[in-house]
Amino acid sequence: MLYDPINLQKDVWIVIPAYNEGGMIADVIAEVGTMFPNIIVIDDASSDETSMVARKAGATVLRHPFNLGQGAALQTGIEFALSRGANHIVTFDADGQHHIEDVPVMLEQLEQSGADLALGSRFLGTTVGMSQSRGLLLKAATLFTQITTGLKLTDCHNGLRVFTAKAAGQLNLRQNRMAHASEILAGIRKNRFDFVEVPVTITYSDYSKEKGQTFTDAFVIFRDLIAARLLS
Amino acid sequence: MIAQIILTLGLSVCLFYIISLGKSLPLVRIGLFLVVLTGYLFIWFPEMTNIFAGLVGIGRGADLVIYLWILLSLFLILKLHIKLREQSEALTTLARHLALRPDPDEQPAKNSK
Repeated sequence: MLYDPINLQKDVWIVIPAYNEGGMIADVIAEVGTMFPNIIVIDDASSDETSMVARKAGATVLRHPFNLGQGAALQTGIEFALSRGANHIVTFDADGQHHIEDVPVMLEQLEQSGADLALGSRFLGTTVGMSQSRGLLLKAATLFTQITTGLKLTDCHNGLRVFTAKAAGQLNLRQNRMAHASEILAGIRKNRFDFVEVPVTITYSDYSKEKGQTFTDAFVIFRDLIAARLLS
Repeated sequence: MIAQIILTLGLSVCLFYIISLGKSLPLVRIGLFLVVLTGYLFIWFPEMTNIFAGLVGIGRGADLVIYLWILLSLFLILKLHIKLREQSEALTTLARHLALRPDPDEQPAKNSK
């Protein structure tokens, strides 16, 4: 059974958190727009032209009054999409790492499996231009998350995910910054969501490498998670 | 004697502040009140610290005071951290609410022309 593009795509919302992504966001929106009409960009108080460029490219743009972090931007986008009656919510990176062709496959597998969310996995799929050190760092992060959440996953820091409205509504992201990736997984375990992992392609360009997470960010994420655990 | 007077004055400022809190935060107020009272006691009867220290198995009174101080500081830091987190969550909610307002940017643009 093939994914039905006409009947389903209008209920799918693509959520793109963006912080100073003016250089890339128009291309990303154009690519996404070839398949999905509902695109919401959350401009996390960028100092560049992100909002204007994104709006010109045809996306709905929400802007945080000050910088809150990617997790907070995702949550804002999810709440907006739900308020517009979204059936499925896709989180998509603004730096051009993700490919929109992967999303219909994820939606299809989500439908077929009856799961609550689909997670993209670059280690089941392919990566273009990923450095060896980044691969190792991501593998280590995955191992850490496997141990702390008990979930069998191959790639836990992939921003490409598809949520059903039910799962998105129950998941309340409180980690404003980068630890939200692990928070989503903790939410999966807590709410007993079913998930499927779908192979996707991640392309590392010079642009995305520059914008992406660095090695020290891993420590920041780790600290946020420890703090969250102590305080929850 | 000079040190004792200065310390007493310092503690008295704290006491004044605690009283000025009025009826808010009853637990915090009582806690701080006890801390100040213990402070007065130890300032004017330093040998008391030795007695208390001996009771709980610490060699010197000064050590007891330092340990209590460290414990108190850690507790306060934790308390402040939680408070800050609460504040930042409230701020996030507020910011999100602002961002989710209908047509935040389009409306003024139309009006200005």
